[in-house]
Amino acid sequence: MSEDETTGHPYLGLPPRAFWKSAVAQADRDRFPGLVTPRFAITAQTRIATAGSCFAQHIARWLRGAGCRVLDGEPAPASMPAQVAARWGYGLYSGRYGNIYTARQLRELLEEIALGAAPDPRLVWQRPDGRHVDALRPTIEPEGMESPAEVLLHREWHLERVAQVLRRTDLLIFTLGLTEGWEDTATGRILPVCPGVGAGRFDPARHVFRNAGHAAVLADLHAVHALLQRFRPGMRLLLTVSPVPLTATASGEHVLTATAWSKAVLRAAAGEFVAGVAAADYFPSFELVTQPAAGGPWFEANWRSISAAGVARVMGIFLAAHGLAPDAAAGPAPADDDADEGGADEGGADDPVCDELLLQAFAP
Amino acid sequence: MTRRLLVLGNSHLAALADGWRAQPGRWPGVELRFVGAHGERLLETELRDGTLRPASAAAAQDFARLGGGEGVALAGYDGIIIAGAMVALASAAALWREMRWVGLPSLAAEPDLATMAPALVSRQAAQAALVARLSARLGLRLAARLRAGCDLPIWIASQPRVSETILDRPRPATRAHAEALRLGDGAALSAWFDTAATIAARQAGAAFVPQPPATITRDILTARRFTRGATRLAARPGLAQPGDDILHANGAWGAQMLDAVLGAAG
Repeated sequence: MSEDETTGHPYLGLPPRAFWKSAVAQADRDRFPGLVTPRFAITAQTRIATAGSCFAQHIARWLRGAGCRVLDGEPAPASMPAQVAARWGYGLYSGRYGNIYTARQLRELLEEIALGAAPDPRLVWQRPDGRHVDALRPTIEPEGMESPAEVLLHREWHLERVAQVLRRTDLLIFTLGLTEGWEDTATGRILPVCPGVGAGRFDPARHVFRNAGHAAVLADLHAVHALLQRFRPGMRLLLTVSPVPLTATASGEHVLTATAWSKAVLRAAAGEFVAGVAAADYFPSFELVTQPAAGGPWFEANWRSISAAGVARVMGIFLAAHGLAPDAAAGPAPADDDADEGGADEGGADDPVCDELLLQAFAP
Repeated sequence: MTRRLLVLGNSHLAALADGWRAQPGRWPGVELRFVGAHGERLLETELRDGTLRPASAAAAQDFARLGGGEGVALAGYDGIIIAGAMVALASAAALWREMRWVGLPSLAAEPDLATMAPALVSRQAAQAALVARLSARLGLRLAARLRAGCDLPIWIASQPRVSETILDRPRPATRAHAEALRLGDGAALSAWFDTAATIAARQAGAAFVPQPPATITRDILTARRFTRGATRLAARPGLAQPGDDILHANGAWGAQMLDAVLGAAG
């Protein structure tokens, strides 16, 4: 046995990014060189679609600000005043699907579009004021609609427009937000908001709490990827995990540990998925906000909302990694008027629109 | 007892003034003072110590020439009428070109929603959009400013719909109007505008007075007999609008509008 064989090992010759000392402790922690090594380039010509939890709204806005082609299948009419467009959920993502918190929600949306079935009338909720909303995006129409038929017509239009966007998309950026959700067992659909919170009526015999584990999230991500290829072969998928903690948990756990569990599941599933799918990548927005070594705190006073500085840092690193704004000088596209539904501590023109925040009203 | 009302307006003030001058005995017990300013110069004013004064050289020139003098003390009036001032159905028509909502005949007749160019929006979104657009127009901004500084009742008299004469032209001057008529949406467009203007006026602390039905043809146009011979807002009354003008109404329209406003004013 030679001397080289006895003293050699896999850590020899690894790049600086592999070692905590050089990659973190002694690194430029404002820029974190080597942290993001994109598997594929995003250029100003890349046709991008975005979806996900509230944090994903920042991604779309910053990409637009950097001159990227963020597609929008349901743009606000040009003459619609900005404050009206914001209140009616235009321009948040590439379609007016509102926040998609879980991988299962995205999977089911894509399946609904791919199957081409008529929208399900059982997923129209009546509000206390008698007006009607789409249970799968219950806050997108803040004043509701006059009839279930109108809701269904709008859903049909929505699905068609999202399909049109997906057929043109090179890259979908999806931000995983939650593992917890409520299933409507009558239809088998996961709902973005628990019935009774804002709209609909909670029926314990029909609405069942689900908390997706690693295997379920991973399976959903694979299904999402396969579905995306049906719309546009070769479409890539970039995953992020939202650093925003849960507003509330129905798991029975403390909301802090429930948050840690959810984010760990999402992070692990995203990592395993990306490891096995060459056309997928992961961007560490979660780590850049929540890792102690990443500085901060990047949270607002409520320890939940991400501060503007935190968002700017995350997106600056994202854009720099893709050569879209090497000096992180780019900013977000102009924000619409504040449409946040949270309390005063949530306020701010750049705050995302978060259905989940409705739960906050029920805190004792 | 004589009711004294102050009538403020842009170029559409001329129609009301012409109607008033042509039939001085038509409104007994009412005294009107007309104060005009071109474009948006009525916003280049300030309301201080109960007096509306010009705050720019251009506004001062308009006030001096068009009835406002050096300023208008509001204490001498029982109410304020804002004439035209861009509170116009044209705002609704421009929005309608880009959006459709349930209840419109054109949407019901649409063969394929998937390829429809205008966006499908909810009726509430459409109404909110129009209210917001109207609220940014001269008439509503002026009303809100006056409301903040005085407690007189304020009425906003609708700007006239565009003239029926647009139909005489081989290429319509306003494509939205021609398209709305072709698709059968005229009545809905008219009702949508009147409703949104009523809401916007209420939000500004004023009351909206719609265009009198007798002066309207095909829901979204002003009958040609109410636009023929329209005059300009000028120090010398009677100066005619250009022959191809489609935006302004005449004194007969102004008289009808005054009937409506004074009726609303009780």
